Amino acid sequence: MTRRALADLPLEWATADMIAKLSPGGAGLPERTVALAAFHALPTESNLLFTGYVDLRAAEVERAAPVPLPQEVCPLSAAALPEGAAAVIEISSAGVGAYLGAEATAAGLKVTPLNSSTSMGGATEDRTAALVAALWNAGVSITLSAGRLAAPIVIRVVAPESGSSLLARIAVSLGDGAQASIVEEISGSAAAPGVATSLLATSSEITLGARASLALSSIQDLPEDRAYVTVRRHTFGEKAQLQLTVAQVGARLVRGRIDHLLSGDGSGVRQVEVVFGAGDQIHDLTTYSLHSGQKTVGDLLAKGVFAGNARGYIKGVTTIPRSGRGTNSYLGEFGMLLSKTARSVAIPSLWIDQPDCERAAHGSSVGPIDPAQIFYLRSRGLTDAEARRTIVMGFLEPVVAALPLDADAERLRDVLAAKLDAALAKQPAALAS
Amino acid sequence: MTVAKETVRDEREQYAFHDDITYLRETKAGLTEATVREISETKDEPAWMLEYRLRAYKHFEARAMPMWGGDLTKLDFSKIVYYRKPSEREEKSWDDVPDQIKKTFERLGIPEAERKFLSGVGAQYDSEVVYHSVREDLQKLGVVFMGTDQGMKEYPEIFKKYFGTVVPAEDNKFAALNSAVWSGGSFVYVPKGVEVPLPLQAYFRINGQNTGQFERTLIVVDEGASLHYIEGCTAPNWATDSLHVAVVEVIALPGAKVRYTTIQNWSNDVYNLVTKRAHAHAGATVEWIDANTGAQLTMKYPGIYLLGEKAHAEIVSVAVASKGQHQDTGAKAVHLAPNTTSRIVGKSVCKDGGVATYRGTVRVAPGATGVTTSVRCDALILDEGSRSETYPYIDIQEDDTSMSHEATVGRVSDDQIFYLMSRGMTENEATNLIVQGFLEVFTKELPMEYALEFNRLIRLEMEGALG
Repeated sequence: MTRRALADLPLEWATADMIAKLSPGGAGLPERTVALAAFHALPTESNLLFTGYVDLRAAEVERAAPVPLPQEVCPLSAAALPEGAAAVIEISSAGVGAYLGAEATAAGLKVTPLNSSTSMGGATEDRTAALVAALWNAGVSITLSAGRLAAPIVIRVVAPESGSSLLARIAVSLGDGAQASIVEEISGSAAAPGVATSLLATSSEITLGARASLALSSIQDLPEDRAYVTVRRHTFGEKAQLQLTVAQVGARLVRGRIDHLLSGDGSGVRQVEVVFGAGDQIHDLTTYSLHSGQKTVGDLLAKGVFAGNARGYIKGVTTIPRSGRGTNSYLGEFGMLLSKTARSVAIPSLWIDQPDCERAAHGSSVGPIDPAQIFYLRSRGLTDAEARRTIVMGFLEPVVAALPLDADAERLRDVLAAKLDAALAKQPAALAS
Repeated sequence: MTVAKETVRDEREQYAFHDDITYLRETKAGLTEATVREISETKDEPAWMLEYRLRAYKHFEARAMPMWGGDLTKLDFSKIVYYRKPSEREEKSWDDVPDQIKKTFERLGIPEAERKFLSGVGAQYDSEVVYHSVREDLQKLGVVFMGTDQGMKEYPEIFKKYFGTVVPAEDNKFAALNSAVWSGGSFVYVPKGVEVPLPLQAYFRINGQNTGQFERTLIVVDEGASLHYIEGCTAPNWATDSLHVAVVEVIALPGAKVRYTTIQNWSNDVYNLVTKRAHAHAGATVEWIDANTGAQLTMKYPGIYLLGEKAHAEIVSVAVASKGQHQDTGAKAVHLAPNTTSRIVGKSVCKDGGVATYRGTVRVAPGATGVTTSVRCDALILDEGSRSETYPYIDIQEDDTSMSHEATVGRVSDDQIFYLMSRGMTENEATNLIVQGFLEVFTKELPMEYALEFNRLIRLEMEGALG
């Protein structure tokens, strides 16, 4: 494979012509134009500490232009609704489809096409956000103005197979006091082996009203030849709460950015993110928390397991400005390396202007599987391989356990176990110590 | 709290002085190739050093200013005098030192310190070492402690073998600048198996408006030998910007043990941009014990490259940032060999609008198996308007590394203040005590005299902290 340029997200389709095609009748064109200018003007990474490029060497996405998709939300059949779910929304190269169960309809859940002129936060600050804001071809708006929806909303995002890109915006709005849960399944069917020729980019834009509460779980197990760019931006009203659980398992390259804008007093976020990289996978993930409200809570935990030649860059930036009195913030980044050629980079940063904080801390560790734990499990009759498997699965379990639907938890457990077995089988020498 | 203020005597003036010295020779302000040639010629250097300087100068010119760290926009290289020489030759005895310079040193208390326990004094007055004395018993052991210029001439073999090997001229813009115009600094060589029983000490001072001080220190500790080197800095106050760009290279050969202690207290107009790095060979231990309380901007990240098996690195980095100050400090440990270990402790205090940054790197390269490393960095913010930043970078490329990192940022707790006040302390005294306790990880590593001096400096810095 020839080495490619790294620094410039070489997308031939990021042009004015393309955004005109994506804006029938000119709707949303001004917003896209601003974002496109930002995409071309911004550096891929402005933080000098972080990797200054998106490593697209293994992804041929420069000619995978997005195709204009139908703007309406097509009805799906009732059979599409998973057991125990309130609603299902599917986003793919065919556009957006949805089916709302009786409970969702009764609770007043609204799933509508995203208004083309809805501006996207961060679109002029971050290059990957600007990319989605300029060139999105699928968009959906999910609104629950009040009340509680007990069963989860399932959002399925299906990556395009090859030759074209899907850039999807998912806007979620919860009104004052509303409560809901969402499960995101990001997957795609396996394509022929080789370099990725399609890009999946998603933007999750969540606005929580006062006292609103959302549990969002996301499982990403794309085929290991895809490039995946993801931005999430969460805005918190007073006392709003978000529980975010993310599993990044698949894709050749993942570049993710999460922004928690904790402006509402007393608002809080709990985030658990696990990353499992193997083969030649690259995971490049950053979480930004801005504690601008008073007495806000950020409890962020990231865990990474890396095997084969996988590389993981797990980064966090916690900012407590002068207004953020009484902040309680913790950021933990923990890695486990299963092979000698894997690499883990942790960069947890703190920027603090307000001394009156309850807690502002971060911790990180990287280590091998603890030999004492293996010894203990072997003394209980497990084989060496079983012991290792049990320990790694236990390391990842907090994310699995947070999934609201049993079927999802089972599926993720299976995906992780299969991947782990493959990784352990490939590295017998490294693990024999 | 007016009573509280009286408990702290303002000793700032002790460190803020300036004597009018007639310099015997100085270059014109600004840096050109001619300046570099002039410096080399004045010092009557071998040709290879001139070539080295010119190579470094070219790199300095070509290299962009760093885009990270502190604000360097007000730094004007064209206004700096790159070389000045206050006296003609190096002095061996205190009596030979010119009176004017002696008076300045007396205010710094050098002879006093020397009499008490120091084994050698290398005092740097602006750009040239003017006074050096090494106790006779050290000379008998074969320990070399002299100005770097003299070291280059008297010990060319050792000097040429190691100079520029730890910090290459092309390492960064400021290392290139130092390599082009360096003068003064210490050259230390400790022969095989020799343990230097007492700390070697060098006092550095900057005098003179817009004087750049570009000292270059090279320390080679041979197999199985040990050394503790102490560097303390004071500088007179000046209204315009001064520049201090030093390079310190430490080579700890197999089994050697080196500790390098710094108390940096430049006046608050100095840009202190220092590259300090050590090579630790097999079984060697290198310790950087580094405190920064002065300067307008400090950018200093003492580094240790662990080149040989079972080498150990220890870095304690302490910073106090007050009004108008930015302490951008940290540590760097690069594990390049198996079974190497490192421990990094960073502590910072910021107040009155000061900015304290911890910037650290831990790298474990492929092949460096069995590494254990721990990083702990804590910050205290004493008031609103001050800022604490933490940027650790941890890059692990071996599967059996054991790495842990922890950082906390907070303020002095009300409970602690309340408790101490209930024991009869004023609020200010209580805060002082808590801050001193917070920095104790550094203080306890110092010889007693220095620990007292450092605590006095902290008290001074803390004076009126609660306004």
